[in-house]
This record gives sequence, C-alpha cells and structure tokens, in this order.
Amino acid sequence: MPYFESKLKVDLGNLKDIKEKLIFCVKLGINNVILEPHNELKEIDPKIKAKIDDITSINIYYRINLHIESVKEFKKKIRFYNKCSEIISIESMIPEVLIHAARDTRVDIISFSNLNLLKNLSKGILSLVNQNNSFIEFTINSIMTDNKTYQSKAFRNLYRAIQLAINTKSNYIISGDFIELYDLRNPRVLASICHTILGLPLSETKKALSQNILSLIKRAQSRQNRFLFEEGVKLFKKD
Amino acid sequence: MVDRERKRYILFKIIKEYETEFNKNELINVIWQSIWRYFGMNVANKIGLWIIDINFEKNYGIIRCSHKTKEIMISALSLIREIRRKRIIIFPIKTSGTLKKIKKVINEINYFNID
Repeated sequence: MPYFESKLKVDLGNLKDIKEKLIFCVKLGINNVILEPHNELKEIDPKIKAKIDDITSINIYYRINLHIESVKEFKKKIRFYNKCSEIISIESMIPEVLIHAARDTRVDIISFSNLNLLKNLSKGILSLVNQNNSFIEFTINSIMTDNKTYQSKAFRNLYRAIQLAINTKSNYIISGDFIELYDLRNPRVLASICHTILGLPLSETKKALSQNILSLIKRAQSRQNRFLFEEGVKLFKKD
Repeated sequence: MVDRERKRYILFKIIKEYETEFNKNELINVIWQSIWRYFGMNVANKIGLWIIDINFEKNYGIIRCSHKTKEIMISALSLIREIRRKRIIIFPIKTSGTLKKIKKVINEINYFNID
C-alpha cells in the first residue's frame, strides 16, 4: 500500500531547499510526496517540475493551496484553475467561503490545517463535500510541539473533527504538514499515531494516508481529460 | 482464557541532527518518557520493552515488545524529538515476530548507508 505525505511546503524558487527536503524524505522511507508551493501560483512551471524530477526518484505530485478571505475573492481566484492538473485546496476562516468551496467541482480539498480552522468544520460542509466527491484534509503537525496544553487541545479538536467525518462517511485525508525537517515522519508512522493516540481504527487511518490520496490525485488528473464530464460520464469517440 | 502474549521485534533507525553522542541508558530513558507522556501507566505496564541490540555506529537498533502494544511502541518511538537537547528521529523500519527475519532485513537492505 503506497503511503503519501500529502502536504510538504516548499519554495519552488529554492531548489537547494527542495533537494534537502526530498533527500530527507528518502532517508525516512517516504516514497510519495505532494509538494505545496509557499505562494499561490496560477500554474507550476513544467521546467521546475522537470528539475525536481531529476533530483529524486520519489513520486512527486503538486497541490496549490489558496487562502481565501471572502466569497468574492474565492470566485475571482478559482477562475484560473478550471483545467488545472494540480490538486486545488482551499483554506478559509469564513464558513460561507468553505460552503462555496465545498460546492465547487474545481476544489479538490477543503483544508483544516490548524486549530482555528477546525472550528469551522460542520455537518453541512461535510455533506457538500460528500456530494461533490471531494476531500477534507486534517493535518497532525500539532503532535510536534513541546507545549502539552496546546497539544492536548489540538488532539481533542482533531479527534472530534475526524469522528464527525467518520460518522458522516465523508472522504478525508490526513497529512503531516510539518515545517521543520526534523519534524517530518513517515506516513505509516502517522497512521500508527492516529490509531493509538486519537483512537481511530487502523484501517481508517491507513485509508486516509493512502487510498484516499490516490483517489484525490486521480480526481485532479481527470480534469485534464476533456472527454470526461464528471465521474461516470465520459464521451466516447465513434470509430 | 488469557491470550498468549507474543513477542514483536521492531527494527528502527536513528537519524541525528548533529553527531550527538548518547548511550543506551539515555535512549531507554527517552523511550520510556515518550511512552509515559503519550500513553501513561495503564499502557506502560503492558509493553514489555526490551532493547535487543543497538548499534550507534550504523545508527540502528532492535527492541522487543508485546504484540498487542506494537502500534503503541511505533508511535512512542516516532514521537521522540530530542536527546540531550539535540534533534533526533527514531524511525521504525520493520516489525517482525522473529529476530531471524529482522537480522535478515538488516543484511539485505542497505538502509544504514544513506548519508
């Protein structure tokens, strides 16, 4: 089962830094990584992708994360990603933006990458995400903190949010989102941590770190296929 | 009837930020601290932790635990962040029920030669 680190933030202008991070991933036995540029790009330059591919043998995928503060801003920004082959994720503190994002087929992930964002997760958003076959993202970067109070609080919120997602049978993924190099961990280990500390079934956590991410990548790539209208509806050429 | 407790051997790799030197006792202390912090006494008494082998030159080690606490042990090892205030990663590579298989993996995989 291939496991994914689905959120590794990088500066695409700094190849040395990317190389360092990817070599470290190899050391940790991480074979599949989704890179996220720091800044919101409209498109990732194929030349940079080729350069990164030359650095490593790891399977690399890309995602673009948009920080949105209003519905108007969301509508304005999302127009640029109609046929984007990268994974599109949205982060917002505003519940209305999240509802709009969950309805939009161009959005692949609604990301809840920190404690404050988790407060906005609701059954309504999960239901819309289900209808759209998109994904919810939870990150467990809070495990790597020395502050025990913050850590306990973060785990509690994460536990509640993931339980809500499981109860509504929503698609969700778990990512590391570690900033420091020495905080990085192998995704299989993250599955163990979620199982033992958050009390989630091991099969569920493995699915969130593997199968669901594969489906997510497939979903993003299928946007490029002009014969595919939506899931289950494909135009065949008459021979 | 009580289930028979089976053993699990975990092969792990140590990645150090600097050439930090520490001994076996310090490593055991750090592992127990991690178990206590995240899982507490309730779990700590069920683990049956034993260090089988530790190689500081090649940065790997083997520990033994009970089969029921395998996942807990993997989590506790990975949640260790530092020794002597220097960053460290203890990364489980392989879990097996026999020591023979673990030693076979050590010989087969060239994991420990990655710089």
